[in-house]
Amino acid sequence: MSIFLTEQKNGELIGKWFAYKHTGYNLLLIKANKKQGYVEINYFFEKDGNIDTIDIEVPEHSILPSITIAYLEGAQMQKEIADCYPIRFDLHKEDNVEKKDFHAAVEWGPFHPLLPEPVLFRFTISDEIIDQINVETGYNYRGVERLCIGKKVSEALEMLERLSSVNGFSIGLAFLHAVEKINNVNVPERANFLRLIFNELSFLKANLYSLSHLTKCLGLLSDYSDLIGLIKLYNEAVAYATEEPQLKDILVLGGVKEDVSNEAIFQLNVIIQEMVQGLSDIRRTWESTHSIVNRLSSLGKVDSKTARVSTGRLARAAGVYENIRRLSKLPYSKLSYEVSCKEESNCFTRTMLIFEDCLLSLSLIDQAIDMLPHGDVRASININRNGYTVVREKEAYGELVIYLSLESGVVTDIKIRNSSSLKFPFLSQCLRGIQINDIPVIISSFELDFSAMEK
Amino acid sequence: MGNGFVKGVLLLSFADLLNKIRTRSISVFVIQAGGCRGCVDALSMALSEQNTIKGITLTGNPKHADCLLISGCINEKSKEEIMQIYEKIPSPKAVVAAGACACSGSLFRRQGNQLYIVEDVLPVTSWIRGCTPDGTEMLETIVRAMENVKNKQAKGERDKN
Repeated sequence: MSIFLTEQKNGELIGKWFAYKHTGYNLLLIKANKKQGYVEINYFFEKDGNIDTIDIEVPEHSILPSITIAYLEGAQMQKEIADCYPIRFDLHKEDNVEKKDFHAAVEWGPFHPLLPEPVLFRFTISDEIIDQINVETGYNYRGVERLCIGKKVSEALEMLERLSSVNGFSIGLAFLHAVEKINNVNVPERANFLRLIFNELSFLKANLYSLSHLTKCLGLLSDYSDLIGLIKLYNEAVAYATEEPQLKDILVLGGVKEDVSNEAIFQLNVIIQEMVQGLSDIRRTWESTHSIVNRLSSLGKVDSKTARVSTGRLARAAGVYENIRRLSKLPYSKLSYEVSCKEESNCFTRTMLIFEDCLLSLSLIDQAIDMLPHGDVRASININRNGYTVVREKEAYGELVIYLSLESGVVTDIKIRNSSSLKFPFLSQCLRGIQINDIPVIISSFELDFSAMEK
Repeated sequence: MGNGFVKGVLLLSFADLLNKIRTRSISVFVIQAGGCRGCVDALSMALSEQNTIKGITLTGNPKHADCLLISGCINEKSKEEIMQIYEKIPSPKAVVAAGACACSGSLFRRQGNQLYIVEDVLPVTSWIRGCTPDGTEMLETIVRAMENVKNKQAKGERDKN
């Protein structure tokens, strides 16, 4: 049995959303909690660093208005809630357009037979041009958030680091920042710099993988081979600092697990800086090859209105200045850097930004190693405070938000919103009207990181 | 007429002939059942690098595969599909469980979504432990797993005869 909210309650909720929208607030996160017979939903909005919330409690099996009326970027977060909790959302007309009857539809991909659960593409084509498209996802993170509840911080950290092979380090770091914020922990300066170096290394790896996926989609096998060479170089360099190229099991509460000698970190830097030449060469080739420029420029165009509510390179390529590093607790303010933007968001500009971001990461690593202070890498701490917090951090593909609630060192609630949740709702509109063989390129340039989905 | 020489011509059953051909390279069907994808990335890197172990290719069609490599935790929903894929792979076939999640369930063992390890679902030939396992070690294990499977089959045939 479904329970509709009264028109007055619906109207109040929608009114609040539009009030936030018109005063320039962005939707940061939607989370839900099940209570006895009720579901509590919290909408988090953000403007200039200020976070405001709308909290509502509705009976189970209620049908709520969809936030996509005001914030289309909330579609994925809302869907995840509808999958996990006994409530539904009254999708407005634009959403319903995609639920058409797909007679004689071509179900194309995903490339793997097991993928229908994490993502499913359904579309109809006419003359190889996509007519209608419906992209669906299943659970993101496969309920790992739920597994973390009731676990100690160290146990939850181990799980969170294993959520994604490319963004696992950033998720673990953001989680620790949240725990440290609740418990007022001061991390030693050397540990903070080491965290910064490892964080940038994880961005570098993710960006190299992103480029290699894109290169493979374009069929540029020689460049693909060069990029694999660079990833190998990365693995070789990271081996000087840690045995784990995926940078797992490095972070601990209050610092990092083990110190890395200055000698090892200098060796790492020497090897990793060799990438500058390789990356610049590939970028120059791509910029001067008309076929690549023309093909990529004509694909995956995102208008500035969409880009403003998105994150990462999707937004920056459209001229939206986004510097998430400045929100971080890591000592980025001590380093000198500039985040690049472009004027029009399409596959080509986004790809060029990947190259620039790789070079930026290399420069930040170089600067951080030069400024690496001496001292402890781990603070002795006692986590016994209760509380909750929202932390915003950078992950390789955009902004990562973590809501965390702790009680006596045990996780009582956690919600992770990665950059893909904001980008995904715009994927289907970007794929409409394009040729079928261009789909992989566009999906690659969106840089989605869903568990077990990838490109 | 069985296998053997007839007037200097080697006669083999078609299945044996296919097996002889297949000894030259190993096609691997990879299933990422759910996880961080680190194992698959490590394997892709090992295949792309200049490696001493050659002749291993990835295939997207189970009917062309010799070996099934599974990484990640298996849940109720993916269990059925994995079994279907396994059925489609022609014998002799090897099943390799790659990574901590597939071998032991790692941190996610028996939690929440009724997760299984590969051994609960299929007969496993070889295990590659570690989070994340080494790529070259994965290639080596695939070769050894195929060798084991073929030796076992040959032994079975000898015993039958």
